[in-house]
Amino acid sequence: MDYTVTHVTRFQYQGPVHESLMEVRLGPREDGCQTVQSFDLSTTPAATVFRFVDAFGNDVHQFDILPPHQQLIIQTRMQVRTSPTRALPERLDPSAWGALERLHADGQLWDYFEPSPRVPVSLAVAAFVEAYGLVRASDPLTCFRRIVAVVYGGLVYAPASTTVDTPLDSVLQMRRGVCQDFAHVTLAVARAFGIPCRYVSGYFAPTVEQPVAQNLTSHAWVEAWLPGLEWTALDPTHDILVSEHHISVAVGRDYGDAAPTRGVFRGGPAGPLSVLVRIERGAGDASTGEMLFPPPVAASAAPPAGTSSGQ
Amino acid sequence: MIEHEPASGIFAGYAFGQAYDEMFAGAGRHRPHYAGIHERLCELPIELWRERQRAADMAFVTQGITFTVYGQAEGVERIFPFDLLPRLITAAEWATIERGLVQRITALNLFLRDVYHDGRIFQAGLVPRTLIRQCRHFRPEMVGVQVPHGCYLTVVGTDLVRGPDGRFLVLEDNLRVPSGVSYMLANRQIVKQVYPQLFERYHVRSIDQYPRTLLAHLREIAPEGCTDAKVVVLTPGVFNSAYYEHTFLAHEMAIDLVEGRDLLVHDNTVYAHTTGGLERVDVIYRRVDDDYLDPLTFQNDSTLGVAGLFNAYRAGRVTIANAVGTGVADDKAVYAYVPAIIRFYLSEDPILDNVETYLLDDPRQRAFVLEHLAELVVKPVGESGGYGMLVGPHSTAAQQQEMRDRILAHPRNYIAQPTLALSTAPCLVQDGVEARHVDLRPYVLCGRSITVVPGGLTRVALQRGSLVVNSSQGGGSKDTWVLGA
Amino acid sequence: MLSRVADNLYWMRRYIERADHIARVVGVNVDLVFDRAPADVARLWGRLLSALCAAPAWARVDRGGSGEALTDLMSIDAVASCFAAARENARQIRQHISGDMWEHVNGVHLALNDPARRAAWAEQPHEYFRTVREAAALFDAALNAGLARDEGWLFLQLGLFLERAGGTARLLTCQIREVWPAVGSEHGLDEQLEWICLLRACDALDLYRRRSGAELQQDRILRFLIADPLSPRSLRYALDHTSRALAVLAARVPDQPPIVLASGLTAAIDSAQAEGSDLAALVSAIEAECERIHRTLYETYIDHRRWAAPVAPREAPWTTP
Repeated sequence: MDYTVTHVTRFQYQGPVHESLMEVRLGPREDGCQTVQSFDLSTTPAATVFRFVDAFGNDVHQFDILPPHQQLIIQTRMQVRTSPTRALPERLDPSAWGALERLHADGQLWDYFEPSPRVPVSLAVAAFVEAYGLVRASDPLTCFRRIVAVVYGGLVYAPASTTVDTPLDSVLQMRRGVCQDFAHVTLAVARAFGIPCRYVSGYFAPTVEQPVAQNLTSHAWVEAWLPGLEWTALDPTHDILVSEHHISVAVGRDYGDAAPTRGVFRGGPAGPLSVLVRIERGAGDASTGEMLFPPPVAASAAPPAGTSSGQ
Repeated sequence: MIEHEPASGIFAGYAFGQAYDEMFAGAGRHRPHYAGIHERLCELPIELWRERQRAADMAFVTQGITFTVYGQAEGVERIFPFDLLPRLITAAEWATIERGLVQRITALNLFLRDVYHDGRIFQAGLVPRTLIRQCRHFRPEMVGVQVPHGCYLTVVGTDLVRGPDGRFLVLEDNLRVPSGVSYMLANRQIVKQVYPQLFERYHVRSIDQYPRTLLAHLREIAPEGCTDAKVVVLTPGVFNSAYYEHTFLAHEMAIDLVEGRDLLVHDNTVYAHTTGGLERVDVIYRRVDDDYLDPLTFQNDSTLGVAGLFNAYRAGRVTIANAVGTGVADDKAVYAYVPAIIRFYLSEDPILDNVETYLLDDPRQRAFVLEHLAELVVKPVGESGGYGMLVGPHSTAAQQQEMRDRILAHPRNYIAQPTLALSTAPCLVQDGVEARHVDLRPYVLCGRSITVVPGGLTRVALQRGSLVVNSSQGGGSKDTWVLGA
Repeated sequence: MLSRVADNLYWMRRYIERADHIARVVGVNVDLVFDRAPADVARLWGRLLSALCAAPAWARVDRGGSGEALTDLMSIDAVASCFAAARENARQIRQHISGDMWEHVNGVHLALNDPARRAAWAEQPHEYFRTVREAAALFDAALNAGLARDEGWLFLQLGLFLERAGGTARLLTCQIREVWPAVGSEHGLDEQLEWICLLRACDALDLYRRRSGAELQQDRILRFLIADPLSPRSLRYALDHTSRALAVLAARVPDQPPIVLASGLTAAIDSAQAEGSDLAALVSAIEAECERIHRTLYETYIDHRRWAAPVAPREAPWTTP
């Protein structure tokens, strides 16, 4: 399916900001499941944009703005074609567990087997696993599917119930969260069972009647690496297979590695952050029309001085 | 061996034990190359020696050659204690050391490149990939990054010890921000100043070319296409324990000493704030740890670094020396694999051997070590400065139990080695000359080629019988003389 | 050179000069108010506070205190904070100054914070003035003997002369405003004394006598302090040296636009008539020019790429006790 995604991020600062450096991870990925027709990124104030590939294979765009400014707007626009949903087998051979263990012992896919900053080893995870009677299934694919289903059932999706910095244990205690938290809990449980998996950030374009959906947000889901299937994506927020309606943008061990923006600056402090995501079927309208931002997200509680975190 | 009277006079308190002694082959029998020193020690009254020792101590004070000791209420500036008697190394001994170090550093550079690129040594099954990934100093950001001339290591301080059989062994490699070179240079300068006659009858190879050589190597690894590279020394600032050394080196190389706040990155290029405007910086000799180098890429609350520095580095727009991520090769657990590393990349046997090392991650070795804690030295893999280690024979049962608990909690974090009888060398004490344990830290400089500076820092455990030579824990140093052929 | 190093050298010199100035000026005033009527004492201390820009800080303090309270409360703390700031600057650039310079700054800083010595000084303020003045003089001697005349040297010179000119200008302004013109040509002994003290406060009494003779004439004194090109304590001299340092700096750092003294200022000084209001305006203009040069110096060589709000104001270091 062809999509055009426009993503506008507006940082507003309470005081003038200078020497601002920013990394943007919003470039769509070329993986087996989608191809990229075009991608543009522009900033206001203007800046020279550089590209590099990071440790997780993400396409990163980076720029700096030295002179003082009171707001920063980053606009990306991409045209991408997603592949039809890949069918998965019913199960894998139980020997797949052994294959995963050997990979781990050999130090392969290290980042995705091991705990990560936002997905630490946690007693709360163990309690969650026990509470839902989750055990290691006969094969990793079945196990992964079951984990996703349990997370979907065990957590309530509640917009604005958490922020980007809400710890995993709080999410498990509240049993509520947003897509990022659903993904983190899934990662924690899957890794506890020895399944290497990673966080995926991107967009979800639900089937819509109108060709344009506005006021969307970024979405997050999970990919597990399974023998024979390689990276296999499931969406725990909806308990569905990742499909042609999912557009992936960045991966990492957890949100921290895949955050849409990451930056530091001098001055400030940070103020409200506004995000607008618009997804259109097909080639999309060249003009973005009137961009009406939804209500801004307040800056995260007590960010480190001079740092901005992404939405 | 020159026969002499049995140990008497100023050597009355000289203890001979299992350790190799640098000066004496036996009681009353000094080694040929120490003849000159021995003669002077015998002919001059001890009071005169003490006077010269005091003059040397005063020279350190007036010149303000200090370091800061942490672990106390306020950082206290101390003079690194110095013993006037030089430690001698023959030309033949040095030739072996030099070849061994060149071989070792060459292999480690190749290892680092392999770790961050193809990983051939993992595929060959010689070093476990998990060992490297578990290492706190492994930097995923460095995977695939091109480093000028494949030179990950520019300044290396490899610690050597001499065992009872007289052979030099490698104790550990320091590949991140090795320090101490300013003492090496200061020691030589002060001996020359305070007792120049000591140098008569000896041809001692010079070391004062160190700063020039370092600068030359730093220029060699400037980014491609760069002519007349601007090189700076990046320091964490006045509160760092080695600050004096940073100022010293910057001064000797006649380059700017900068802090993170003096630099900025714009359009992937690093600039320094100067009175003449922004001046492009090409090579950074950094004395700041990886974690604090760049708040955008690494620890984001660091005020010591430069935001955007790593991205400029990755893009090849600035060179950082030593490279980011070299700590993966000076992890003490990786140390045990260095002989295999040398063989794999160079198809040669190591010229300098390792000290026997037990890896506590391995169940069998761990069991052995836990049973013999009282006889072994246990060290945490990632620490420097002698902190957190257990010297078995000098420890209490309570300390051994504590170490046992720590090992069981995180076995990967520890290694163990037999208690080495480090060689001893003569030191001036109150009433005469006594033996004290010493080690040796030569400095190896690499750019497009490798230079081993003939000498190094001989560190001394100042207390009788002590084996701990680190400055932060009461050690001292000596001038090191590598003799000409 | 690094902007930060230039910045630290410049301010280190300014703070030491400021400390010296405060100690000298307060010391002179202590003598001046000796045995005067209380109304006079209040007026004279008031004038001093204005000259030292300390009036706002003093307003926050209980006025019940006498002159002694002023001395020990105000000046020791003020001088101590100047030395503390100078010491911090020096510490940051330790490798750019000589060991002797460091010793003088550090030694006095420690003494100024020593409770025993502070108690002794409260009893004998002249001892304290002497200690500070000696340290500043030794610092200056060490600086002159120990440093190469490189770019850093120029920032030290600029720090010295801009601070000195500012201090002298403010003393002059306060004096002119209050004491000039006196009624009639007969001046009482007290007014004469005030003019002597002005000269002493500017460290220029001997200089004046040697240049202009023993007779104390107000117009001569003012012209001497403002316009004498050969006396190291005149505003003219300070501006000359500032101008010279700026020129050498411009030659050394060709990438930046040169800073020049406002045209006509020197001519105005040379042709100044001994008439009160013109002189007051002239001194004001000189003070303003020094401020302008300070700001431009910053913009050109130090802060030229930074747009943040200035680092904590480096004005008079008056701490409310």
